[in-house]
Amino acid sequence: MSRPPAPPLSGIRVLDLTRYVAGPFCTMVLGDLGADIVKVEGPEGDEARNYPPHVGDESTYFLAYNRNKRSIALDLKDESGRETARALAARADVLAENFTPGTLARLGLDPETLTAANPQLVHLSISGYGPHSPRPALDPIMQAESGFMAMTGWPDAHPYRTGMPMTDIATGMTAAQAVLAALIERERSGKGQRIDIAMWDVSVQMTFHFGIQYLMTGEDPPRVGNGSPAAAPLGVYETATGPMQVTGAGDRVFAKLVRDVVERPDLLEDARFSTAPARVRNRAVVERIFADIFRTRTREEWVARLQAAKVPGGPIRTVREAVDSEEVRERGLVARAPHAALGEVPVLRSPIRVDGGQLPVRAAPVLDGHAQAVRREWLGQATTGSTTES
Amino acid sequence: MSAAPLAGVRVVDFTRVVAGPFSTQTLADLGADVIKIEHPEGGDDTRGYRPPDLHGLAPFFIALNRGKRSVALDLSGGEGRATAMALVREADVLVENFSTGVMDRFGLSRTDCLEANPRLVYVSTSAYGRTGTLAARAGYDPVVQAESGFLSLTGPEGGEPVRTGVPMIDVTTGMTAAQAALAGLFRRARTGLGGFFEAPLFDTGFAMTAHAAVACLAAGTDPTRHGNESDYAQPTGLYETMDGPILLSVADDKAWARFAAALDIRDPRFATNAARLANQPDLRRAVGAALAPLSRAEALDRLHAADIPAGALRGFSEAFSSPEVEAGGNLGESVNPVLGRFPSVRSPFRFSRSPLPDNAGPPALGQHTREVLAEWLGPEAVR
Repeated sequence: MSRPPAPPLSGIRVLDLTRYVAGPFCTMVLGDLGADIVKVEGPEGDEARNYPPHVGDESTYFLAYNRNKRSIALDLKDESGRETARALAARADVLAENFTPGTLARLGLDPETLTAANPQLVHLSISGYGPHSPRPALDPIMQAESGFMAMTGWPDAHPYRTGMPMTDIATGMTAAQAVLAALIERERSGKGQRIDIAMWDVSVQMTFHFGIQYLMTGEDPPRVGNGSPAAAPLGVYETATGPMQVTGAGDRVFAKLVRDVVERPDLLEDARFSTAPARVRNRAVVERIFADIFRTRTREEWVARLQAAKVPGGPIRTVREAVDSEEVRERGLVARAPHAALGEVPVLRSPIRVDGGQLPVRAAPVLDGHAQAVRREWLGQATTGSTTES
Repeated sequence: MSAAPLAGVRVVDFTRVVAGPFSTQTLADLGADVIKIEHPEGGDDTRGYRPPDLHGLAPFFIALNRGKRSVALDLSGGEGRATAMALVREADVLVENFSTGVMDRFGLSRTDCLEANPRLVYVSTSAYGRTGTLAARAGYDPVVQAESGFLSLTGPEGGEPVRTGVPMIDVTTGMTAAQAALAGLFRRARTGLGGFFEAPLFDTGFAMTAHAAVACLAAGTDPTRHGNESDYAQPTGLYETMDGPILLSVADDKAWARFAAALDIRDPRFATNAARLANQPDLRRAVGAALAPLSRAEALDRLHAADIPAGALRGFSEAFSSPEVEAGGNLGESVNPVLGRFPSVRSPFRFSRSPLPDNAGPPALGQHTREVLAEWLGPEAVR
């Protein structure tokens, strides 16, 4: 295998004051790319450390959003904690925070002061509704209020939020893009600047083509469940061994589906099914025929046939089935890494590959696990005693 | 006088459909000059994903291609390929999302391109990676939602899972590819060298199962869907009011005390989160009965006054005329001087010093072929 690539952000120092999901996702992306992420936590730690389920005393939720970071505990309500935070900010390339707007200013850690002391600092604030709104943000409510959620689910029932907190995650990803862009700009100008990313703005952008369609027509686009108004057969089907997804859209794909996958070429000769518009008109019959056929064999068999015939489709896996899947194994998406409290933990890998190799990965830190190393490396303070830090 | 963060960055964009075009739209939002290479006959398929259409363009294309310029090139012929390679020599970033092997057939493999232009950041948004046993498999958002476990987490508890209406794996893959391109540009600013960056659809889809996958791997749980509710805190989820549903979340016992006072619910069986989880059907009935006689506005006022996260379930007609959209300035217009005006959702980037480009509209097919060839390759390239 090729040697590990040099991570693109090697040498970049990020002072990470973020908690929960959106902010930590952003700094995790920067850490994946090789930046030195120093996560400042209160004496009790990031609130996400309380989110279940736990393994030992460690939250798996916290583990998932904080790989490739180091931790130092500072009490920002205390002047000595704030002094250390200011000293770290003076040596950072990036500061990231997602406190309620106004909180850090009350602590004397406002962006004006910090960027005046360090004009090269890229200062990222993530908020719910912009820097002037103290309204707290919560992922499912963003999904509901922005219109994003209205597109997920079936037409005759309430919509569903995504199981994963996708407005949080998309906000973190957007913020990471903004920080990278500001770092690129800084290479040219020599100056840092402030970035504001509001979860609300990201949520509205995530309405994607549906939002544009509404603005074009003035009508709310309908929800379509797992189907499509434009094609049949398309959707979720039960097999003898579990559900799968099949997209039989377009005449070429339909021909492959009936000939090579379900071996029913007679369906092509039936006028009710021979063209895409005819199949949409006769959707109920089409879907019933395919539902009956797909129940007769195992999912593994159907998926193998779909892939051989190049018809879009695949198994609907539980998370447990997915982590054990051939694809996850083949792509090397789960690693194991040493952990100061647990010995070793599973860690997901970044989806980004550089020069043909995967990016290095370290497990999420234990609370205050790197205080001495950070004080030594960032602040030049002499260490005392213990050398147990990893 | 400041310039946009990516001012002066040239992107040659071979992407089509969703994930790739979203990544390059982000680069255009940040100020890069994005040149979209399209086949002279029909161009990007999403141009024709109608109805509806506006000035001949479908919503997908409008949503994913603002701020780009279109160059029509037939990459099946020698002349088109030579022109493409000439553009690659002048580019800072190349992004492509063809099936594995297609760029090689066009003479635009990463090896060829990086040899011709060692400063190039070459980004492949593949399905299952460009190497390995899955490299030839095609990728689709609904299939990756299903295979990665992501889809199993959305939908009714005990019922059929449902894919996200918005193609979230395409969206997040586009975001991942933009991160890769930006990381490549940063590394190049420091080292002078480009490189090969990948953001595969499947790898991104699996990454989106984040804490669910880690809980399964580390704690042995079997994560599944819970409708609109939380499996760790109650009450959460959708509740009806007199004139429409709201979504609320009561995360802990302190929040419950405020919530119960606001709605005048007095029942000792609900005092702790554990008790509320144990008495869910009764809790749902009690909360439902308290909210049902209130107007939606009254219910939200009371919950917000009690500092309880809550919001209205909205369709676009309501969301896009909401006070939040007004305050956020989220809606705008993009203009193509040839085609006309298009509605636009503003990018969420806000920089204190770097201005962002005006919102140029989506391009007509081949609208900028002569202009771009002249600018990038010199006047002799356009005869």
